[in-house]
Amino acid sequence: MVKELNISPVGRVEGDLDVKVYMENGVVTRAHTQAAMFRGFEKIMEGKDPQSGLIVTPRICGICGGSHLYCASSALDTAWKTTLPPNALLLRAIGQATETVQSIPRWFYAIFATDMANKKFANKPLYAEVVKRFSAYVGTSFQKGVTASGRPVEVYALFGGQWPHSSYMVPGGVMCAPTLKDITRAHAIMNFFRNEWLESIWLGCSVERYLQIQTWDDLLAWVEENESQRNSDLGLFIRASLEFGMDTFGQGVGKFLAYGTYLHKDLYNKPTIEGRNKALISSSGFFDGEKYHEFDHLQIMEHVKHTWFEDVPAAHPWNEPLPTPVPSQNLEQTNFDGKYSWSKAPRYMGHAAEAGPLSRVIMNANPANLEHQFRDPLFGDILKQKGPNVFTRALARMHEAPRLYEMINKWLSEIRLDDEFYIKPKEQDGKGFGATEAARGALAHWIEIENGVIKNYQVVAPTTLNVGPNDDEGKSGPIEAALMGTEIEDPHDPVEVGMVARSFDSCLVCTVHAHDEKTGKKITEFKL
Amino acid sequence: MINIPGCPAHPDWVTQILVAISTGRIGDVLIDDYHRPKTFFTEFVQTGCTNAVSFAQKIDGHFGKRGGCLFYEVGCRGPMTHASCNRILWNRQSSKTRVNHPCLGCTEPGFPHHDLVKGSVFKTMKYLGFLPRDVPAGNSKLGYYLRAGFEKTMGKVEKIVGVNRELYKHSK
Ligand code: SF4
Ligand SMILES: [Fe+2]
Repeated sequence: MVKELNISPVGRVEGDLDVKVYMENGVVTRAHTQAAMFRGFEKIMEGKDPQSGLIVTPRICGICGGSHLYCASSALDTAWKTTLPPNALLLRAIGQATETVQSIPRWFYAIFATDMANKKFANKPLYAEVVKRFSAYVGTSFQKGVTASGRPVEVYALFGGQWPHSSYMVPGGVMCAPTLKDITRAHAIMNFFRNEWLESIWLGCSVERYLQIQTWDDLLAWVEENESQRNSDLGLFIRASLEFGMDTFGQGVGKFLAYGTYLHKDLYNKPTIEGRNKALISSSGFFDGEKYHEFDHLQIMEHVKHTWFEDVPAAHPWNEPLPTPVPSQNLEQTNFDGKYSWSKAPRYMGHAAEAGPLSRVIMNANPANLEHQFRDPLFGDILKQKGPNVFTRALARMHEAPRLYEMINKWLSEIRLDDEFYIKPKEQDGKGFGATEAARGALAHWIEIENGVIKNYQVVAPTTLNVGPNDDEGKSGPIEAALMGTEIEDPHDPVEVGMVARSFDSCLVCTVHAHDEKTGKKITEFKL
Repeated sequence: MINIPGCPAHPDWVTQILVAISTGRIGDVLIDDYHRPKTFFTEFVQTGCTNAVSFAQKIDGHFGKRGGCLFYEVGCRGPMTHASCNRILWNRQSSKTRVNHPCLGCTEPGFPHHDLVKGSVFKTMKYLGFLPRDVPAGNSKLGYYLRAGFEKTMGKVEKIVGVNRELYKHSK
């Protein structure tokens, strides 16, 4: 018997994603993701001052604003051929990293882990402990984790003035010129974050100890090493995930894309698109399931056959027209053979590829990474042993916290207070590309400036990559693909569908071509 | 109706109004013409700005430079924007203007201002190449230009003769 399920919304914090799945005998056989509102940010910038992206694009998303700013300033750096002082690259990296670290506990406790307290798992031995800690609002770790998430962005505010929605990264550097007391306070705040949550609640060990883990077996041994690690939130998360079978569903397309981020202070002082890959500290790349390919932004094409935009052939963002919307339908009236989402369908070398922390840590395991880049084999091994699934995606997200904590302190210590923070650039026409890794994955901006104003501005957000619809050839987007084959235990409460979608952290506010919902209304209504 | 403007609004602006309501103080919540609560939106972003002394002395600030006011070159809208960003700090730490980030005027109608036309982003729009197009609230343009011209010249004189030097010294 074929059953049809409409679930809306799937996102818990901002925006919503409508999902339509078809099931046969309790298994998802077909899935469609619908981003439900036109946003038009790219259109806003047409004909405007070339620096408009610095003000407009951070406002695409309330939780990735710093990432958009990183892209917007980098796109102008490459178009204007600026010179960037080391201090500016450090302060931009610190901004990006603090925003990402902020998102780690916030996403885990407020969005992801509450699903583990779903009654679906009530018959599992660890369920009682999971409920005690991870239940929404009342869990013993919930408030602590969410509160701790506000600390790293205090550091962002010391250099950016505020988080979210600062525009402190500008072509040629940064606006701020911090003093000693800003740096020392930033160290102190990060220290507080470590003591308050990272080591005490999350790891149950020191950051240094955790970073010694190299393989999946190491990680399992780490869990059992002592009571403190076993009973930490990470220890519990790993044990419960395996017990609950969260490592058995949500595989997805098995292809991974990362643009990389954190441009090295001494390797990107003359920003160019060609020089970017080698200057990254967290490396970029495309992993096709078997081998790594060097990242080349020219391999990205956006498809709109199933998007509510006028049909144009699939094209690279520089060659795309600014989108022209066509009439849309609500979920019930949508014909999924035609246009059904506000999100475009980006493809890399023709493939749907997953973006996100898992893609990043897979790139970090690339044996070809350079000396100054992250060289962390753990997720190369985990991918071999466990494959991609809901659990490994969430684990990848959490795995970044200790390393970024360490890097933020390192970068703070490298700032030289007597040196420059900004070098005034010469404005000129041209094309630019800026990219980064937002907390939830690869993010890029493309700009074309003509006659001193913006001719074309294109944003491809990680959520576009992940929630995008079918492409011109009818191939599914990553979340659509990850949902297929998922076994749903109780069609009246299809928690598995939500878990798969949320393992991608599909923050729809992040999708430029998608829906921004204002209400903070918490819980999903499952309609049947 | 109460409007809490800002892109974004400061969380305290929202929550403190809720606290006012829940503690029976709704009668103390006065609102202005745009229905903004006066307690947050009567004074200007400039109130409490650490560059206010430089504003008075007409000392230019710029990106990557310590000290100086952002009004003259990089388009700060602090003097004409009602908001308490420099009194209730962001993320408990700072504000845009404290880190050399020009105020964008996001609590005022018309944001983003000048419709982002060429030359309006992080640049002070000027008449005749030197007179700021937007002048601090409460000033007629002519009156402001006359006084500003005088004070700006005086500021330089004072700098040369070393008067008030303490006020515009900065250290890392
Ligand atoms: S114009 Fe801006 S930088 Fe200058 S004192 Fe006023 S608020 Fe501060
Ligand atoms: Fe986002």
